[in-house]
Amino acid sequence: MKCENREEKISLYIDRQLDWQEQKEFLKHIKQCPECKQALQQAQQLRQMLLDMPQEEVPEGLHENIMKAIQKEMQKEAQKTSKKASNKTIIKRKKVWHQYGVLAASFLILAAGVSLYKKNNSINMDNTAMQLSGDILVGEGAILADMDELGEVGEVGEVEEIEEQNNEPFQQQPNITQSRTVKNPETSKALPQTPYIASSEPETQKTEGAETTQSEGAEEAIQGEQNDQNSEQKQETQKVLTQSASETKNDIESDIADDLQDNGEIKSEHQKSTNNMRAVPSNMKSKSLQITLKANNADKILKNIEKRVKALGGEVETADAQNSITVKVPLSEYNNVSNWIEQQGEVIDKQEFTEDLAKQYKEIQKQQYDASEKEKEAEQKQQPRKAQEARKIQKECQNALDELKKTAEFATITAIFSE
Amino acid sequence: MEDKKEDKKEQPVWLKAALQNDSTAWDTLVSENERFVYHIAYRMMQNEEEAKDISQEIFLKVYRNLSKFDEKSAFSTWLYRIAVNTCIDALRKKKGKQTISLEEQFQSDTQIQDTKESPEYQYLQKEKSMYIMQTIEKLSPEHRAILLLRDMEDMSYGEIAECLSVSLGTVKSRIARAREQFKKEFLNKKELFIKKKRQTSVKGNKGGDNV
Repeated sequence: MKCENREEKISLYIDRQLDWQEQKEFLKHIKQCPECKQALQQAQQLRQMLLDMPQEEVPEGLHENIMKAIQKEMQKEAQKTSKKASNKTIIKRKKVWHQYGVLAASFLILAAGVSLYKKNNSINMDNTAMQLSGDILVGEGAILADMDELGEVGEVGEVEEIEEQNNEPFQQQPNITQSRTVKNPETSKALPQTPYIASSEPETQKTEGAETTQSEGAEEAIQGEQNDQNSEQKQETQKVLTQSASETKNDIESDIADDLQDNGEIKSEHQKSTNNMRAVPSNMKSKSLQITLKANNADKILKNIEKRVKALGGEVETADAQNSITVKVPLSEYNNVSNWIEQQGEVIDKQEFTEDLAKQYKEIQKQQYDASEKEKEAEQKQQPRKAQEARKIQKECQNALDELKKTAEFATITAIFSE
Repeated sequence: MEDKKEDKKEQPVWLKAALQNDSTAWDTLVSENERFVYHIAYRMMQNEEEAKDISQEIFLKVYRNLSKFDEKSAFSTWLYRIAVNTCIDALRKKKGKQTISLEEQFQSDTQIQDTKESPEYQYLQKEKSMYIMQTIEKLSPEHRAILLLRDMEDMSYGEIAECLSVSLGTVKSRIARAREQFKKEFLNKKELFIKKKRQTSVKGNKGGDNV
């Protein structure tokens, strides 16, 4: 053996990684070569020295700090799951919209989430809630990005990028820009914090403005939480958007002209068109309840809730977070179930939300109507692509309406137990 | 289904409960593993404060990703992997930023510690540890990690390969290179130190150059 690769051979020899033949050669060489012999001795000493390094004492309080951090994370997660559950119906609808780029409606629905979200905040967190959820997002993003490097899967890490890319089609798609600007103020009107009160309130411009900005901030927070669920569909959205953007490239100029015109008229048109449309089904309200109970035997109660809900034709949405459960029950059984849950422990907090879906329903109907008008117009102008696009939107609107109807048939109950 | 089971390794008893967010299980998980997590963190980061923060970060990562743990490797290997990678990332980010020099740390440590060993012996031991730590500090995060796993934690080549997600061949050559680098730096350091000792008093309350 020659002295080249000395360190590697020595290293492998020390760790018994040489095969029998190599080892024999190595030892033979060592006997003849003082340099290599010295190097081997040094290497052995250094390894021994490293092995002998005294173990550091774990600093006091480390265990407690780690446990605190984990518990904090568990709480965040529990709150998140309960929030997600109450927003789930909204997400579902959002999916449909996202896929076809009818963002006006999705914005509306998001804002609906905001009103829910705001209420959730009052139960779960203090004013820093939005900041907190921001932290969660940032934290997770970083973590997953890190995990990505570890060779684990990190879906969330991609979201930011996708969102950024999404901005482009937003600007290219005149339809969307138009809808956003027009629908924005409408949103806060359509989704008051407490539907009953708001409907009797006069519609003042000032409050509307204030609510809109607020809801935009909260929208970000909510989107943050839904990121992991939405990342996939966002990708799809992006695809669709880019596709349609390139498809309609030729038509864009005329589109812009059309839209500018529409933009000015849309408010009055909206009033007209809603009158023309079919009636909204009765009872278009989604009910949800979040209840926090103090009980000693949470596990048992959770199981009982599950049993009871299933027996009544409902379903368990999430039961993964510790000491909390989210269920869906047919609307007719809502009072029955919620009263029963209340009797299972000492009620610490109870929040009932009713989301008025009627206005959302109307909004979507309006979109559908607008799309049908567009279709007619496009057919007159012999623009088959635009007509097809409009038909697509109409179909999706119909799906969204069906979803809404389904949502109104079930109530969501989230029960959280503390000991 | 059964094939999948065969792939899976036996896991600690508390794992299932930990996946259900059971607090007691998490307490056990942390108790059983905090020592070596801190150990890795300390030796990689070379500083107590950072080691504490990183240890916490590592356990949070474990918490957030436990559901992704496929149980095909031992839990400890998975945990090692997260720990080492978290430290490597932190070191990369830290690169260029100044921190408390080991020597300062060493000085304060020697003053506080008080055991039954003779002060001279203690001092020498500390001095040796500081040497080693300072030498390790000179290595790249990857070399640092592999030396730590092999020569301090005494992990097998196979375990290291699994933990760092690299091939056995890479482990072999990387260990050799890390050791070579370590030896070179260590000998340099020794020379410098001897020179310095000649210049300053051995009592050396302020023996080090303050970085």
